[in-house]
Amino acid sequence: MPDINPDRIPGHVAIIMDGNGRWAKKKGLGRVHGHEEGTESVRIIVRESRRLGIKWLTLYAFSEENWKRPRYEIDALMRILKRFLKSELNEMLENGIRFQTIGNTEKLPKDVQDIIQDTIEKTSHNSDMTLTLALSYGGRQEISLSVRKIMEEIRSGALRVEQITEDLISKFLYTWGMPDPDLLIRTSGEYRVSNFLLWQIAYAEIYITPVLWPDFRKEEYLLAIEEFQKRERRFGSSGI
Amino acid sequence: MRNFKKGKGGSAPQGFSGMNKGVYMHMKRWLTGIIAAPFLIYMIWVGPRWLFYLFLFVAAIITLAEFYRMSPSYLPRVVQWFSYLIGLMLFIIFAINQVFLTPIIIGLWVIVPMTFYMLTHPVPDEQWIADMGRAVLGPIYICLPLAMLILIDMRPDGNIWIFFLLIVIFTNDTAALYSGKLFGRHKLYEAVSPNKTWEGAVGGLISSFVAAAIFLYFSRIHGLMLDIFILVLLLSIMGQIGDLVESMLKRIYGIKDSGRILPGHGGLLDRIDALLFSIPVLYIYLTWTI
Repeated sequence: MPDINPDRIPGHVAIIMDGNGRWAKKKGLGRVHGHEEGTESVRIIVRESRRLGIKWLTLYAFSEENWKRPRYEIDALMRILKRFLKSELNEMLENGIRFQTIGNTEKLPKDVQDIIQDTIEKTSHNSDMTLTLALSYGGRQEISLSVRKIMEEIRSGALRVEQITEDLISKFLYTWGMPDPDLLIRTSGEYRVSNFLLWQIAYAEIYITPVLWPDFRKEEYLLAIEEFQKRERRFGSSGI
Repeated sequence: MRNFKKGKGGSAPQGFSGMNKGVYMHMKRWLTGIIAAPFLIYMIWVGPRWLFYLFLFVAAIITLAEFYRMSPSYLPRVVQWFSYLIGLMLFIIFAINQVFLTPIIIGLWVIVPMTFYMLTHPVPDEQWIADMGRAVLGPIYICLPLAMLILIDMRPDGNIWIFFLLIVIFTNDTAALYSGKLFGRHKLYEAVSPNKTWEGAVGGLISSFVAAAIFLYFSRIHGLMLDIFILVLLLSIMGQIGDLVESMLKRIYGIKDSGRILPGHGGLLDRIDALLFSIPVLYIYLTWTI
């Protein structure tokens, strides 16, 4: 087991969960089987994050670009998402996990939106950990949206151009009120950010593992945290 | 066992050796299938993709060679080799995902042999057109659909969709053969293929539906919805047409099998004739459902 220092647990972990399709292909299974196996990884990582005392966990579940996938795969993903939210509600309530989403969730099917809303409301009083699912999320879309909203505020006179600062922009993003990620994990060995939390990951430590998401379980997660703890974070200063 | 003979015209009882031969051919047919199946399954399912694409290319060239050999009239070796070479280019550009180059390939299939033939065979008669038609038809009839399997393979769950296609088409073929022999009454299209019956075609279609439903239930690459029924129907119809077209070709040249590469099955073209016409249907369907 990797050696984890309980005093240096990252506050916010964001994960690009990649490799379900590849995992399925390697096993000669359809992509949907890969997504189902990946959901099991989500359960384990959520549980493990809570156990470690991580305050914020953000998972890239469905990107804006994922709408280009085959219809059947999208339908299956929505079904899996609904099933996940239903089955995990009790666990979230018992463990003080607050649920929320970022992204253009209005594009999701109505029944999925309803269950998301329901889960958000039911878990809104929890404060031990916040689980955020990025659904129909795109970093550029998020930034464009914030620019549009800021312009509207300026036009209506509520804001002045001089007031636009980093902090202000952050307040107009989906992630308003959330700390920036300390650790960004990407599975399945791709060296890309893929439009995930572009603004927010400015100083995040990036950890890339070749392990495919359905194989990314407790052991692999602890390895990522251990690696994070070994790194020296300087946020641009010289670190004396 | 008598029933199996029905389709062959129900003539006077044949001798023991005659029946034996029929059974022998059947056994050979199944045996070839059973031996080839694990290799095919491995390659399509989890094998390295380059191996599968190479296999497709080799199959295309063997089939194309069968096609060129079917007709007795002489087509210069060089013309045939140009077709193979350009076929290789097609498989390469598909394998490296440069599909936009396809029109160039199709252009070359026409331009290269015509230029060459014009220079080497300056004989002004109708055979000229017939020979060129044959040279150009072959690769478009055979290489293009087989190479399309590469494009299908590259799509999400593509390899499993290829299994779906094979299962639908081979179930269709096999079930049509046996249900035709058992229930066959009404000729489907006697002018082209005297042994095919409507009962066989319908039996094939129903069996394909069942096979497709079972396959989808386990593979879960698609729900069992209306579009699947339309897809299987079209695959089955195009498969039957492909089969008839190949029978037509063989009738033109008065041969029984396109080749002898597969024991009990005849040539490769005999085996994949239905596929050649159904692959584009699946390709269009997959492109369209995204």
